[in-house]
Amino acid sequence: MARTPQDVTEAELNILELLWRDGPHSIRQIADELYPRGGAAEYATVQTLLKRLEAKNCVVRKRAAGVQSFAAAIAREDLIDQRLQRIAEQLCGGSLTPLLTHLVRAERLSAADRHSLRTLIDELDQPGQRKNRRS
Amino acid sequence: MDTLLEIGFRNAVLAAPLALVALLAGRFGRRPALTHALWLLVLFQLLLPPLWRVTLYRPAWTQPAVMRVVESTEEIPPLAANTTETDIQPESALPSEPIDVASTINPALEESEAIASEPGAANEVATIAAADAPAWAVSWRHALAGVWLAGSILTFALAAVRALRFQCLLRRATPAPASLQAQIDSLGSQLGLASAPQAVLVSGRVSPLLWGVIGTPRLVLPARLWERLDRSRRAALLVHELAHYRRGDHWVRILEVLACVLFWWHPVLWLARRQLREAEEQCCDAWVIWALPDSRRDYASAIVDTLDFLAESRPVLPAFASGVGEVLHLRRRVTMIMRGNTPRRLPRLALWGLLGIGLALVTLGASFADEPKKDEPRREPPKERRDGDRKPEGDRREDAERAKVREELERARAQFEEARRRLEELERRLGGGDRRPDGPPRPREGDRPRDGDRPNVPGRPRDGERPGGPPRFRDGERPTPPVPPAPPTPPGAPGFPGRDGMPNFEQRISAMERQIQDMARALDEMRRMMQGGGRPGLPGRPGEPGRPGEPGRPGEPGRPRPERPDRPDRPDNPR
Repeated sequence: MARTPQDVTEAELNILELLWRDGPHSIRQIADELYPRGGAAEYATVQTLLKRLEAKNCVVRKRAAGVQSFAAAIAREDLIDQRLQRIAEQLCGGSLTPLLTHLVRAERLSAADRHSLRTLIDELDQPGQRKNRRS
Repeated sequence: MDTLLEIGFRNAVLAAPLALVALLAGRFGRRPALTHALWLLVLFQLLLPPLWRVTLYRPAWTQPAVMRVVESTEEIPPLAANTTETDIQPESALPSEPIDVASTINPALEESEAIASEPGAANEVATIAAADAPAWAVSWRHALAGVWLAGSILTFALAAVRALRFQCLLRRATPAPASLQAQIDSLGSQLGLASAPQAVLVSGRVSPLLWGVIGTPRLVLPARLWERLDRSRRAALLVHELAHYRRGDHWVRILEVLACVLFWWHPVLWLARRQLREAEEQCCDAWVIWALPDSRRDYASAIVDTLDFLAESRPVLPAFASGVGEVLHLRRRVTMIMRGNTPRRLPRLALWGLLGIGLALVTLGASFADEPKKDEPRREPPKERRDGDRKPEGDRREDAERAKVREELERARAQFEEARRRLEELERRLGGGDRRPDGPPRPREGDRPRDGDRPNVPGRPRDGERPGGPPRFRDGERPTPPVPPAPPTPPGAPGFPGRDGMPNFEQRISAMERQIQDMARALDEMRRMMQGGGRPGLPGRPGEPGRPGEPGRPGEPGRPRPERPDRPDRPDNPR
């Protein structure tokens, strides 16, 4: 299975949130931040999570003054909001799991269709405005 | 499980005409609220089991099922009879063969009979269930239920995973600024909401939406779209989403997902979902016009702005997904918005009246169709009575008679066995392999125990349908008479247990008697040969051919039997 930023898990997101908020961290810093009472096991967990995030191209390794630190390689918007958008599309009316109540279905309308809708508004608006003016 | 399957299919079928009504109302009616209520009823029709018990006698529904029972049990025996007919040779082992054939061809029949014969399960339902389900039907039903269940589980898992993910992402979204929330609250109170849902701003390209399935309902607003809209258009879009909340459409979403989980395969459901959306949107549009009468144009434009915004996000994706239906729907919406004369809801009385009566009908309708199924077991005995035109007392008397015949048959069979054993012994003593019966009897001896523990003689299933059956089934352990060549059993005649049970026994008896006679003749012949060869010792057992018939005769004094004519010539057998 191809690893993409879309597959980021909850635990990985927590690390990314930290990196987005406070900039690059070392493994030790991340572990201290996320698991304040953690020991070696938590350190290893963070290491694993970072390795996975790296594989998904979500973090980059930086080496400064002999200490390895990690920085987010993907913008918060690009990850969270795109995922949100993707899932919102999966939850809209056309799918098997219709859980959202939309303004409009997130279907792709061609430019021509949208243009025709605008002209329709204009057409319908003319008599209405005249009527409004008269009354 | 079968009952669930039945209810499921009935709901699915009954939803179709209701959907047609709703579709027509949507096409020709001018009240989206009415259309919405009707589509909601379609959902309820799918989801609700029959709740009303109306005992409605409907023979037309039960008939096919019962007839199927009769056919399925009747189908096999003639087959077995045919094979035996072709296989029979005068002295050869006919008894064991038909049993083998019957039991290998139709193990399900045997099983069903075994179930039916359990004294505890005198419950007719069990009998019917077993008899109603030949092997292929059982597996078919199981497969169907399995596929259905698997689809439901998958759909549910998919919905759950997506919903949880969405919820998890929403938690990370930034809450709307206070000014926006204040605007939402004031618009909410304008719509009559005690409290408006919290809003979050997201930067993804999503339509403004209401999320209310897990946790507290939230408005999700796309930040980038919000930047472009002026205050009036924003307000219009907010009122639209708040109207969804006001109408409780997020509860409808839960119903929809439930229906999707249960009827993921049902086209009517897909239609209902789409139509529900359209009616909902039109209702909310009407609410917007009602709340902000002066901003029709702004509202319609805001909708197209949103479409523009959404279209920008995917330059890569193909545009095929944009259905013509969606464009038509949007045109209709825009027209209705601009005309602004759509009633935003039904009068309260009309709505509750419609939903109340509709729900009653929906649950009642389903139980109409469901009732006959429940009645089937109860209706079974009358059906037989109709066939046989007998009263229970008559049945009982006949059962007694039948038991007598059976007993007689067994006695005859024991004698037959004995005769055969003697014949074999004779042959052994003769040592000569020139007699024919030499071959067959050996394997037959090995087969014998099998006959004993397998009561499933082709003739039996017919008896199994008798209402007074259980006591008779218990004697299955007794060695039952093997099946005769049964040429006089016409395959067509069987259908009805009451009438044919007796002739069948009688035919068996007569066939056995004929065999015994054959044996006796063979014995005599052999004896004559031996006497010719000077072998001693045999005259010591006279009269065995004559014996078999005797016990049988007193057995049924009162009934005319077709094989009576056979009897007189037995004593005449040359000895």
